[in-house]
Amino acid sequence: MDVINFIKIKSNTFEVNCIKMKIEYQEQLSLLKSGDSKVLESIYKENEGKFVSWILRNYPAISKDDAKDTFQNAIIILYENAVSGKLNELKSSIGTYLFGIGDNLIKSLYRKQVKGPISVSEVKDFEIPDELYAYIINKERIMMLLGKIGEKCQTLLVSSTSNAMKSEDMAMQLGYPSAEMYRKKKHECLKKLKGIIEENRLQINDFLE
Amino acid sequence: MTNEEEHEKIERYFLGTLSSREKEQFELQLLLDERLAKEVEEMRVARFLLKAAGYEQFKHKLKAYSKEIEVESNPGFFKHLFEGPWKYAIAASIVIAVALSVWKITPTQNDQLFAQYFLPYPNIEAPTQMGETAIDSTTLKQKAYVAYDEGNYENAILLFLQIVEKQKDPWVAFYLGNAYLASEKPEKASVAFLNLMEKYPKDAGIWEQTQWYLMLSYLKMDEIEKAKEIGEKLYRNGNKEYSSRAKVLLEKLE
Repeated sequence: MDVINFIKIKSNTFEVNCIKMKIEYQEQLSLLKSGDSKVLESIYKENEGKFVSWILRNYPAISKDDAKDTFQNAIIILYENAVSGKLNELKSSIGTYLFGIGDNLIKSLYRKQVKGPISVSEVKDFEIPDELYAYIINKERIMMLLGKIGEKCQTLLVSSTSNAMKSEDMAMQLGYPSAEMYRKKKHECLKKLKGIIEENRLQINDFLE
Repeated sequence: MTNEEEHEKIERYFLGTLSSREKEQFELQLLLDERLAKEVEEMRVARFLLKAAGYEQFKHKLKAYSKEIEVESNPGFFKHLFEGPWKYAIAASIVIAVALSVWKITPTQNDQLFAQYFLPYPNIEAPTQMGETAIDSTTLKQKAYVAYDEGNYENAILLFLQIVEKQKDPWVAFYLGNAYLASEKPEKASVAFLNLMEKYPKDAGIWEQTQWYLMLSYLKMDEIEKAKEIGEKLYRNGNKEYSSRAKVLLEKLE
């Protein structure tokens, strides 16, 4: 009888601990969703070392720098998925989720070094956004093109694209005296960029290969 | 509809913030108006490129965390040797310098050397409060320093540039140079530091820091002779802290 009770208590404790852990993961995810940069920093610092060692162990052909770079890309995907609402529930820890993304990134980006097919389920779960893929494989070209519109325009447009803030708030953050001035400047900058796109007949696919 | 209004409408179309009626009308117009369809396609490419470029900023932030891990993993060793906001940076630099002492530096290693020695100068000019955001801050200067503290160097550059145009503040110019360097724009950083040296005398209290970051800018640009020249000047004429720092880096450049 005592043994049965003991097992019951143990199994209850295990369940409670599992629930506690799940709540912790969810809390971390909720904070990440709200754009809390302290949580992002702690997730980064908690997982970088483990992730890099894991990659180096599983993919000996990958260098340490590439493993670190992959970790940073995995963090970006995690953050985007959290903020965009694509990731609402974590079945495991954030670390495990990051390993899943990392595995997929390695298999997609370093196909030549790491042989083996990419499993379809992995691709679905941890998809690499096209823009990030383009940034990884065509960074120099993208930055060179945007460099042509000038630094002020580049900063203004990049900030406004990656930020869903109202014009009033963006104007304040970027130091423009009014929302109208900010909108006017943004319009001018967009015209410049569109001019470059038209002149070079650029298409999205050009950056994905 | 003006050109500007059209841009805004296309943007709202991409963001999905048009009402269902507006969206329906817009999509119908797209089918009929070839010029508008072309505009929308160009905007799609523009947004794609801007989003891709946005990752550069995100990466800088993550690289800064990675750098902090390196520094934090060696905190105690040299802690007692130095005081002030520099202590970890100095400790990390020296630990790395010792580790690298057997290396012969070739141009391809300059980037690595730069990454190991460079840490953006800490914001001691306008310390920001925990959780403070650029929107909470009222002045341009505050906003610039908040952006700098957050590692949002692109925004910080834009803000510092606006202040530099209006005010003569050597520290703003100095942090602008640092933000450039942190955003991997060493050419622009070097121009900012050179301007600063031209405008302010050695006793303005910013000479050593400027020389050090100018040296790092040249290192990043693979301009080793120039980096050495600045380093020697700093080694000979700088205060104790910067002179020893220049010496360590100069030895690596031999």
